[in-house]
Amino acid sequence: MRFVLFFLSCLSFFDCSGQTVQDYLQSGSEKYKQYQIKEAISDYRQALVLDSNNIAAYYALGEAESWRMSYDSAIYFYTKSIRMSDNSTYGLFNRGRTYYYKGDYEKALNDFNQLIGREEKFLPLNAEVRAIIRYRAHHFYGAIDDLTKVINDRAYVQDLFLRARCYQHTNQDSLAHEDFAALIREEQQNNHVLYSAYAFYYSGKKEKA
Amino acid sequence: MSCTQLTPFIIPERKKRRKLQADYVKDHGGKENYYRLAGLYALENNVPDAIQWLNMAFLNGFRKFGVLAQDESFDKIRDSEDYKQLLKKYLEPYF
Repeated sequence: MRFVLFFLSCLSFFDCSGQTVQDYLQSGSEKYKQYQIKEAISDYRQALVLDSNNIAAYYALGEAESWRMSYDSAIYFYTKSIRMSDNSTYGLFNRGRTYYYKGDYEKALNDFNQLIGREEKFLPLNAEVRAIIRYRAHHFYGAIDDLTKVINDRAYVQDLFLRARCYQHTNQDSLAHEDFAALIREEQQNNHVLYSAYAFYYSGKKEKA
Repeated sequence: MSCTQLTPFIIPERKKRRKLQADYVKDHGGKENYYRLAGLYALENNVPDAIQWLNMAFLNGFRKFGVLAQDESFDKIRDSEDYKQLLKKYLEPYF
């Protein structure tokens, strides 16, 4: 009897084509990398048919659905993976980002607040993404706080640019111009022009929150 | 010299500057650069040039649809038919 049960449990990880869950995940991931999203999704779903508790498959489905802008499905799959993996940081990060792409800023902020609340050491990427979400949600002061921490850690031109825009929205024009000037200097040193162009475009504009 | 001091001199030269940027992007290439140049044209509501450079970005492998959907630079051209058509063209094969 034990042998039969063992045999049946093994059988559930294979389908009639002899492919295992790992095979489907592997081929799905390869197709995803080549932008064959439809085919990748079908492989991930096959993996779920064989093992309905596979966290990696839910997570991969979330990624693929988010890629093709099916945000509701992506959120569904990420939520499944988060619940099954006891609030995984990857799941929270990606679900938060998907909520942001969908335009649901408050839920996106909830996920990032949870994520940042659990950090043992400061991770600039999380703070940077939360700042972008706060900016779009018009929480400009919160965004400035996050960006200041990020810039103190590592100054990238896009962070300077976004902080300058936040300063403009909160009528702190002199601070905005300092950031614009800093990013222009930074780009000149690296022989880049593109964020400087944005800086020149926006530095002539007055904005109100 | 700060940006505030530069601004009055820079704005009238915008066209010249845009040409410099386009030349820079042509020389250096790169999907991200094409994307940002498209964003600059979109900010100025220049739909044809924005679409042209966005198309270049897609042709060179730019696939951050989520980023594009939330990028405020493209807010002005989001309702244009050309923008919708371009997105449809690149997204359709994946459904």
